[in-house]
Amino acid sequence: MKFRIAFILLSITAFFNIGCGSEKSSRIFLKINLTAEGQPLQLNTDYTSPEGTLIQFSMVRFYVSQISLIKENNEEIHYPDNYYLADSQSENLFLIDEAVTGKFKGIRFGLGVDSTRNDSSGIYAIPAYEYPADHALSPANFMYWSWNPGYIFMKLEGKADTSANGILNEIGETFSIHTGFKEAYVFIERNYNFTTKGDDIILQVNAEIPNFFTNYNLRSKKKDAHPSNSKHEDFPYVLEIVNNSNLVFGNIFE
Amino acid sequence: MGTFLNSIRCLLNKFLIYIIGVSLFSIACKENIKKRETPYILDIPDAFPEMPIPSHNPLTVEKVELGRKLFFDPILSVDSTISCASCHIPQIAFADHEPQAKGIHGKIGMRNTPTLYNIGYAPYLFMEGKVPDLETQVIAPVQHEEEMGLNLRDLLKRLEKHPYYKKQFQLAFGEKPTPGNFVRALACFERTLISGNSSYDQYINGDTNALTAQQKLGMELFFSERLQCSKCHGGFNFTNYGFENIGLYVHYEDIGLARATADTNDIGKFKVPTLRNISITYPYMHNGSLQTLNDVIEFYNEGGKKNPNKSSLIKPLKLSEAEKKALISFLESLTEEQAYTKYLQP
Repeated sequence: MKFRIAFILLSITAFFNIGCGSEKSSRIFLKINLTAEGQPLQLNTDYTSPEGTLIQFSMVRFYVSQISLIKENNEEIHYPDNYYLADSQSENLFLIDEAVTGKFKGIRFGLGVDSTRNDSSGIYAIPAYEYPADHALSPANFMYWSWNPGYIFMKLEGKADTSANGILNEIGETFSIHTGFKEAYVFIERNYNFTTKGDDIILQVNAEIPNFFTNYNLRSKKKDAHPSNSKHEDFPYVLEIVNNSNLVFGNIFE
Repeated sequence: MGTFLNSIRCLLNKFLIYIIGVSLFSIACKENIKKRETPYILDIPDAFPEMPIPSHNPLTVEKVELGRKLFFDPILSVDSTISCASCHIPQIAFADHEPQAKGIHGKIGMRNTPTLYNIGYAPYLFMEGKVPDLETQVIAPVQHEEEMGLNLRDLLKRLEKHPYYKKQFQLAFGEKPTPGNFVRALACFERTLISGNSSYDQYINGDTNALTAQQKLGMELFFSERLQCSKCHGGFNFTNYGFENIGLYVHYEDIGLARATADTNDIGKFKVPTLRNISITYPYMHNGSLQTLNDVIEFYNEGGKKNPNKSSLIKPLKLSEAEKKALISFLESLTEEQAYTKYLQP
């Protein structure tokens, strides 16, 4: 009798295991592909902004934080301690989780450094010097205002043909946009169905960098914006650029 | 067969000798340096309050000595030409005589170098006051391209390879150099920089001969309701750590506090500096635009330039020539010429 019960229990377990076999845990990565005109972004290369200005980028760098994986049943797996720095000279392949199981329908992430790490009054506020030098939030990444402590969320730097004569190397035809402050922290959310099956899952997203300048004409608007807080005269310009983020990030693919 | 076994035995012996040799070598090479936490007792002048020391960074002899070594070492700059002491020169009260600080490759910084004496009492750092402590401040000049221009990551690599620092970080912190223990060591040393034994200090401690008659007259004027110098430059460190616009310009190129607050009412406001050791830390003002104490007294005597944010305390003083001289003489009494010597050696 005991053997029969054990056999039945084993059979039930085996049945469910087979049923769940398609949901083994996987490593999940996020890969951000910086692009311009649909191709991998090359630094110091001519592109045309959405407003028709000839531009080149010399630096593109931004933080990604507060990632959530959204399950089919709307539950979310949140990663509050994962901070990544995307850079125009890096592969930008970020490990989100070593082992996660389930069926998912999307992903959300923030652009910048949220106030839990960027506000001295925040509950998780940590002085920048406490991070190891290779941590995304280390001041060694030059994404930190050390005279006015706080993180620069994004740096967009390069040249822009503001005189519209087709020449980019003229004096003063540079641009430098440094974003920051909680009012400029935005979330990107994308739908994408995936199920963990044991293999690594690399969620890729293209970031079409010139789209940050959609409706932002570098000839007429500020081309150097470095606000020191959200009341600063440069801040509205920074906000315009950040508010184009949804036009920058494409759909998720593997 | 015997020869074969002997060969195997021989090989095994050689292998064992090799393993033992490698192990002994590794043990010999591994210096087992234990962390030491010898309390460092600050030499606080009688008239000074206790210095606030952050609980996460108590002063120890080992950290102070490490910080002292770092402070004087140009290893902190990208081309190994500039140390903290290049601008914060001990003989000049840990300030310098440049209008604005000079960094690597002769690059000119934004502002005049402040004295570091009594910096451990400062409730904030930099002229906008947004940096809360010395630990946070340390990173700024090291990485700033107009000062030392060295990436923190590269600095740590240098320190890890350096025999002295490798050992001293173990001794002071029980670990290899990290951003956290690097800034803590420097902050510890900076907190030991105390100046409170000038002629003025000796006078208020009971030595009535420590000040001349002229200096005593200057002191009376300085603390008087008529001049109100001490309204801002008061307290044991001759600063209230406030922010003031003194009417140095009608239009300020460097907007001062407003740079951080973006408030137009803060344009031209800068932190009130200490006046201790003021006679040797010339030139003066945030940009070193006034060369001598005489220039400074003349400026205040005229009441500053018209500016909407100018402090109401700044107005024409109508000083006589004798009063001007007395004031300068009193300011000179705030200098402690030889205080620096104790910081040059451990």
